Amino acid sequence: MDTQARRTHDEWIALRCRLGEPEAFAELVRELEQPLLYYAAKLLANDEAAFDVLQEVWLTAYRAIRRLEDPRTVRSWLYRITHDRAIDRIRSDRSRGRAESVQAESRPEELDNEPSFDGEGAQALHRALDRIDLKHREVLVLHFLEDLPIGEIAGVIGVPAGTVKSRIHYAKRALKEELDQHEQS
Amino acid sequence: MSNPDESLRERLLRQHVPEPEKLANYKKETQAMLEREERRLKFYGWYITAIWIMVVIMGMMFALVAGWSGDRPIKVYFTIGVTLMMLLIGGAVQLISVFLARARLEIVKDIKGLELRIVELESLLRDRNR
Repeated sequence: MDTQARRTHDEWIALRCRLGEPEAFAELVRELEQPLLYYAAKLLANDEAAFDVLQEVWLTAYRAIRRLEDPRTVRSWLYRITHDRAIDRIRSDRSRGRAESVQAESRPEELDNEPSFDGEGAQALHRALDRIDLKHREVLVLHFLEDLPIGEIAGVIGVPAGTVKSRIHYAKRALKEELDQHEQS
Repeated sequence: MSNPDESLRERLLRQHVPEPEKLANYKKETQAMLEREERRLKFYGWYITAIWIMVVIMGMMFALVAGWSGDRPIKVYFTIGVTLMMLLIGGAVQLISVFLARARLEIVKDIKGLELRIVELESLLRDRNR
């Protein structure tokens, strides 16, 4: 399913959820369970914690979906809930320092000259993602998994769009370096 | 061997394989939690309906009792009458706005369903033409 079809599908499911159709929420869970779990697991680096976070996400979503203003944004809305719950979890685990180590990020000068990962093996990418900084890992997962627009990624992680752009840029560089290093070793 | 047509998304998602036992546990707990939540919401719905029915019955009883006690001045009946009327009109407006919003959502949902069908057909045609 391409991005546009996925968005239309999301909107349709969200509308059905708002209308209280019993099967719609189960369909939403089926549809987004895997990518949200991947995202949570990448943030928390722990499957068990990711499952707990995801349960909280579904509960919050179930209670609030009827009040969702714009059904088109259901996907980024769910990612935002996951992000918030995961960050709460990291905070409570006292490893928040890692997540909050947001240094002043300058705007990259050459945004066009970005590395591409189309030819890379998924397994190498999946592992290399774990070795880069959390804030970089997070934007890349959202970028690779959902191809969300910059504005929506900014909404999910709660930073300005410019910061997201620069994070994606630096994250791609860091990932490329990790992959190259791994290849050499 | 990876399928070249498979997107990076799909390939990445396939890399994360949680332990089957944990996954089964999570699914079971999530389902139970959502079922509990659904029951809670249903109960809440019935509770609100019961409160509304009680308010209507109490209002009617109050109006009847007030009507029977003839020694009260006319101003009291007028106040009660106007209050009940306002409550009824307010409730009716609220109900109509809920029905209208629901009808609008139903229409948008049907349109989106059709849009989705068209997008799927387009993608099917694109795949065939490749």
